[in-house]
Amino acid sequence: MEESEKRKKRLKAIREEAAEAADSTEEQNSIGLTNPLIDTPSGSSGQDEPRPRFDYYTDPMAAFSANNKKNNLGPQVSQPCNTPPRPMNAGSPAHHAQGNYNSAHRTDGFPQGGGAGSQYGQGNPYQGLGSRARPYRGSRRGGGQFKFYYHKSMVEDPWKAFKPVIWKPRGDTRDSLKSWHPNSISTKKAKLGETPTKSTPQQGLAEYLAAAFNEAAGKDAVNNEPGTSSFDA
Amino acid sequence: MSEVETTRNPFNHCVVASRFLWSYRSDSLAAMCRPFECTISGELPPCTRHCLYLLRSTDQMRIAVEGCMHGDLDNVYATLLHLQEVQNIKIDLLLCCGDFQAVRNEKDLESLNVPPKYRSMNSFWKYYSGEKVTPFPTIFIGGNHEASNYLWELYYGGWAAPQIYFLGFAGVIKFGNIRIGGLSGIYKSHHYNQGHYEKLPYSQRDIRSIYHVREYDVHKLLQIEEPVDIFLSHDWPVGITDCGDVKALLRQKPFFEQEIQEGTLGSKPATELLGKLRPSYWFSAHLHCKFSALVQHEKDGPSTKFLALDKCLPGRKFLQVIEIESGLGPHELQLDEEWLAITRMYNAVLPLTIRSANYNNVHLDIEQCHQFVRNKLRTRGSKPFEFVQTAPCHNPSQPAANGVFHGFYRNPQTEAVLQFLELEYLLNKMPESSEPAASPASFLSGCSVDYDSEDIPIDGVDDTEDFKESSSIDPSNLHSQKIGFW
Repeated sequence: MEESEKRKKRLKAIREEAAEAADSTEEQNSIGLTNPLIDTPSGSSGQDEPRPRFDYYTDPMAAFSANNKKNNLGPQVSQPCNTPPRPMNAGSPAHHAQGNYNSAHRTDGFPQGGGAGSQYGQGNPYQGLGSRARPYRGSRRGGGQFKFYYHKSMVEDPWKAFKPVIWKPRGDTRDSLKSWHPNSISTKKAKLGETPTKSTPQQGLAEYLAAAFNEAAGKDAVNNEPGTSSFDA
Repeated sequence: MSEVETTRNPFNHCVVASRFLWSYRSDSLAAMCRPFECTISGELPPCTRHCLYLLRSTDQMRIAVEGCMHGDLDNVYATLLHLQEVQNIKIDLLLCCGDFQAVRNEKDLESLNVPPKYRSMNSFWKYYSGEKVTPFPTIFIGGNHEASNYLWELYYGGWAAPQIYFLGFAGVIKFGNIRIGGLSGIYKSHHYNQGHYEKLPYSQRDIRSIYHVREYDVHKLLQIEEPVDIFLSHDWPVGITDCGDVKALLRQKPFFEQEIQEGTLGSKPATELLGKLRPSYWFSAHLHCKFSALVQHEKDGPSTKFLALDKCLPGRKFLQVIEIESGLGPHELQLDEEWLAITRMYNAVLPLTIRSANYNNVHLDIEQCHQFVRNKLRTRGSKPFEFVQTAPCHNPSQPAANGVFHGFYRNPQTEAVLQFLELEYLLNKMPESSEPAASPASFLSGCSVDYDSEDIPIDGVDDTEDFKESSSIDPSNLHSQKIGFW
């Protein structure tokens, strides 16, 4: 009887989870991409369609999952729930899941995933994963997923095409800041108002915006303009 | 190499240094000499041992910055691992600019201000439980979509999970020699001068106000005098658009026009902090787009590189890697002396009602606080206090068994920092009978209670003030969709 109740609750929870998973993947589907990390097995439980098989080929992130059953070097908090709080010694080298990464561990205690000179994506870089670990055939498939997330602009200088503009806080910002502060510190805030705010040689914002809209209507190329972002390509 | 650097080699007294350190700027070297009490500005003493130490310690730190996390740690970390491989580089640190969603279990979802369709566990709980280990040390601030009950536990900052550090509602921490400050939440004028009055169990109103920036936290940040390298805020400083390519921004987000014109796009306190702290870098998120700006503080003054980033979705610009000279020391987190001194000084007036802080009741002297903290750090060391699990973690195999606890956890990390500073614990001014989680054993009994799944759903929380038009789904439908900055 009790088991029946629990089973009902579990099934209900699974249905809700499946519904949530369907919602959460809407954005992905709307742009024609699927994300195997979002489409978790639990999200398809209870559905008629066979759910995708979980393994280390389809889930590259699994490579840096701690195998707590087999690897005692991992953080000792793997048991879900029902355990009292335990210090994790977050800053000490001994704490880190040393078996989870083949890449060089630095003396500062932080595990480093892959990186320059590492074996990430080649062979089986995740030694020590225990019996769950399968030979990792590189990141080609995993990287294939994340090529949609990765963009080369992520390592380019986002300010390289910019010229410094002298900071000119809006006038009303200063005024309203004074009013925000209690009287006890209003005198101190007044000192901030003494900070010189040099005028910029820019045109007024309204003019600037009007020009921007006119230009946008003309479909001018952004990247060809001086001072504009170079990473939109 | 700059003209200054090529005119004179300050390391010609040492073959080792001359060969390897020539590319470093002299001002950086002067900073590196400080621990050795080297008084020769810009030059190294003729000491090969010293030079070899510098060679080992001097490095370019690569810091990745992410916009809104929304609990999608798996995808962000995987993208960074992919980036490392493609670029053949090593990332030293990840910074996240809010909406981190440090959701440990189903109950935490009740404190998360999101539309029901987005209320899902996502992936933080795996790192909290230890099932997964972050490949990069991670530092984050809070945004407007957070497990606010958990972040409140860590009001002063602390490890939200192993190697995942929350900066606090306001805070400063050091990573190696890099000093990182941050302000959690978003600015709303009507709550700004109020205290942190929200108490568990949160009402729907509390859930939508607890993440609003309070003057007290900004006031503490404004006391900082020592240089800050990087500052994080979830919403942008008001007026920052004047220093970037506003035309390109408006093409992408045309509905920002009015707010930009009216000077209401962003956070006024962040603007004040930008003018005061003048950090080298300022990173933000919230508006779900990438936007760069280059701020010059006065003519010939220092400059701030501002960058806002998107949230993690395919094709979106949610990540950026920057390189910073890291200088001496290992790349690990360290408590910040000045920030601890400020915290000690102002803790007595932490406002926990609707009323604002009364600074007339601050009786401590900042220099004495500095000395106090300095002495304590010298004894204890500056490593942050250890991570401790408080609330039970999500168990996907037994979802009905999760989230039974309704009260407030006294996080041992928070107790430890207050004990370190010899300050009173003030955070939860609730009747003692409603504080069942003061001890680690308290949730053992809690987990034995069946979880009532009917408790999970909460009413829709579409905050019309916080949820504005966004391009989260389809940029072509920007004008018609009210789906929020999330």
